[in-house]
Amino acid sequence: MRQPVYLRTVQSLGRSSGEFDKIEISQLKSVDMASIACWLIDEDEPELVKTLVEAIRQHPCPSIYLRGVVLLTDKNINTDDLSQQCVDTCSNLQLFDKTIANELCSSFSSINEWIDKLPKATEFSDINISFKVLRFLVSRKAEMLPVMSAQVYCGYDYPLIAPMLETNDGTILEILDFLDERALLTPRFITKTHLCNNCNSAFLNFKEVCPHCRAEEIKAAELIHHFKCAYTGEFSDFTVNGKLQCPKCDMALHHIGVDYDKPSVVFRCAQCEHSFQEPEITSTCFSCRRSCKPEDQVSKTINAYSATAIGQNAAIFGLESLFTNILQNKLKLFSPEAFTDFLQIETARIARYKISNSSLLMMQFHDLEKLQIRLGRRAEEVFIELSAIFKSTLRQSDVISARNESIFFMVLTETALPEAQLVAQRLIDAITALFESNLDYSPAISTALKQINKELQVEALLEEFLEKNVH
Amino acid sequence: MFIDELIGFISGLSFWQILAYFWPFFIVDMCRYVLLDTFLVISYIPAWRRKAPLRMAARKRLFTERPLVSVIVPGKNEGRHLAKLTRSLSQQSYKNIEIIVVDDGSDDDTESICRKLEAVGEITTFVSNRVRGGKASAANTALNFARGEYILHIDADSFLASNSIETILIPFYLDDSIGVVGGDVRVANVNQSLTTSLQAIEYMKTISTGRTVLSMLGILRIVAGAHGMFRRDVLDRLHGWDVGPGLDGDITLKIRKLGYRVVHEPHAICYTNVPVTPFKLAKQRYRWDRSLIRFRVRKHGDLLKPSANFRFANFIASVDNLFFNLLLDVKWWIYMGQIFIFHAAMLEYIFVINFILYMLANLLEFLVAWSLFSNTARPQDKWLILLIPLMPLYTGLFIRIVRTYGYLMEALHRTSYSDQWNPWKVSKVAKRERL
Repeated sequence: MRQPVYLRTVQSLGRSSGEFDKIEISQLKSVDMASIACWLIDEDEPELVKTLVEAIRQHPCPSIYLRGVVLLTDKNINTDDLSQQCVDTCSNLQLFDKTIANELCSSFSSINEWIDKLPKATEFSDINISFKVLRFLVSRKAEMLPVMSAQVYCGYDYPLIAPMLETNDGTILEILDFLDERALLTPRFITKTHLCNNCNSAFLNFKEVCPHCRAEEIKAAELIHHFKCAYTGEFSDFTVNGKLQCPKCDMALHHIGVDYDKPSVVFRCAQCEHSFQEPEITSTCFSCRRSCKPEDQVSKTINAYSATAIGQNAAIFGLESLFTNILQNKLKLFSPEAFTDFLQIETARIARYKISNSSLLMMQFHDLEKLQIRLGRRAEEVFIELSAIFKSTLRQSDVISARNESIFFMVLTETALPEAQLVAQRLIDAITALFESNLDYSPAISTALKQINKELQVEALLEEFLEKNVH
Repeated sequence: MFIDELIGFISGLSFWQILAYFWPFFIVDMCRYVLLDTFLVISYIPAWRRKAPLRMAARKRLFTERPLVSVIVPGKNEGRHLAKLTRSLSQQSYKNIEIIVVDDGSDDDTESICRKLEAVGEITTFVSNRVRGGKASAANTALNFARGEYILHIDADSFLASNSIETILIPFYLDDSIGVVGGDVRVANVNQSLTTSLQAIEYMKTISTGRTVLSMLGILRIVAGAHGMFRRDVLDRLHGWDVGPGLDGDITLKIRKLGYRVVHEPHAICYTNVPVTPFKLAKQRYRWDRSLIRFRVRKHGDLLKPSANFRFANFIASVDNLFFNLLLDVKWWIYMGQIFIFHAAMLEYIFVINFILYMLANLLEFLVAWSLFSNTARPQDKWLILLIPLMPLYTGLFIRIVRTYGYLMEALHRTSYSDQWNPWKVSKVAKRERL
């Protein structure tokens, strides 16, 4: 039976009774992780909470940094309190007892089971921070939402994963981008922000300046047009003893729309006296003090992230060993969107000229996951060999894309169905030979072929293909 | 057969009969527009040559002092023309200029075009008046932001010859009493239609030659809104333009009333786009012609009165304008009545002879203008001579009818106050105040 363990710093010994074990952060490595359900932190001082959570999340051992963290607190639960948001859950200190502890333990059971699935999670150290973030995201099986924060450089924080990083200089966004680019995460648009193009700080002072000399001291003036004499000048020209009087014909102006109107507003620079209607906007970074125009700022999309199927596998077996990752490097794997675009173009081309025959080949590896588990980190070598088979069998004009790590789509250009059948068979034969000769293992591979024409619906075909192979 | 009868009719005419049948031509038009203009324009050449050293000295002074010139361009929905105008301004031999464009409530893409031109520095200042106020208001808005010692008012659908600003500035350095210099205006879209070609001939006669003559006589009463250079201090004294239409003629008279000279500089050339169809031309002239009644008769009628500010040149300028435009227009209808009532039997002969006389007069006026200004004219414009036979019909019938209609409508109904050229709110105030 796993139990929670109190974690404390040297300075703070914690307030809780001796219900559960207490350890210091310096002793983390010495704990038997098989018996730990989650970490308990019974501090109210945000800095201490932060120190403890960072000690856990920055630890390289997956069975330590992935473990759930509970904050026991006297304070009300507050979504704006980052010290509360950086932990998995908060619990009221006064109400905390054995029953609640058990409930917490069971709420973390799915995380703990996932950690247990990791190959040698207690022995290996995860050095790569991107990989750690991916594993953390996958272990939580939830969408990671951004939170606006003045505490971090880039203005948006992901409080649960932020403690994994030593600095808050915007690296977190780069890591999430990196994982997103490799199709390991699925982004969902939340908002966008503008960052300093020099230091990525979100804290920018926006100012209207003179477009001529860049001076900041500019004054806005309303123009007044007197209908009777057509005189048009600035509001101040018309002001006499607090009343409006035309400087040209000395008539008093009473009613806007009847005697006069205000056709526009114009700015005048106090430095160079240039007049203009559209001041230039510039921003100065509070951090590095550099100024730049809005169009030169870094426009950044802030997303919520969840792991893709590929990401979930990569989180278990490592980024490097991933088949699609290897194919990406060796074969130039197209994204599903680019593949769909290409397919549409090819369909249109065939329909237009009516002299070509191209085929769509779908291929699924059924036991790839088992193979990865069996091979562990050595899977990389096998996948490199596998990619070499794809490369030698397919032509440079063929286009390949992956739906996830085990389903591949290929457009075999200028290849009719009989020839495409030969290509598919050649691939299956070569892959089977590779596994049988090296691993004494027969892979299960399903294929489907379709001629590319106007009626072809990729998504429907995929559904049909998957359904057929599942059943 | 008809020609023989015509020759017989002409050979049988006595001196008094010639005078009775063709008095408008021989007494008025030939004397004023053929003989006087030809004589003065011919005498202009030696005078102009004599002043060459003075002009050289004035030019030297101009380039030593290098005063800032503010080019102001008020307009509505004129964006498509501005690139050509700003390009011609950037190619000027005189470089110390700023360009101020005021958009008077355009509802097309003028604003975005101007913002782009402003961003690349082709326009110094662009002001977009979201609420339309009329041309005078737009010009005064531009004046408010102008920093130059001289203000060049130019229409957005025009562009300048490369030495135009330099040339139009020189008269100010020859005579300190000059308050405004009118530049020559020529037709840019000559070959676009027959209407534009006929206007090109008309502009050569009435602006290139006609205003040079009036300028020599010291009675020039209008500086075209399309191309006029003003002294800034003079405009400041007047607080800019008054409500139009006809604001260019109005401000010229106001400058004359202040005691400044008004001159025409035919070698400072501006090309402008003129109406392409007869209907659009009629609308433009209808607007222009009504201003004679509204401004010259009603607003500036005091020029004819012997007041404390009476000046003889202003009196003559006004008389010339009223006599040769308004009264002689009436004369034309009287003459038509005379022909139809008293000489109906000889109608066809009189019309043909009049046609030939006015055609010959137009030919002479064209040749005089061409001989004077051919060095600055486009070579292809010489073929306009082929259209001279149409000019008696163009000016004698078409323009005359539009003009008469304009005079009558303004005199009887004050229709200029309901012209859409001004926003209704401005027209309403102008009508109420009898401006």
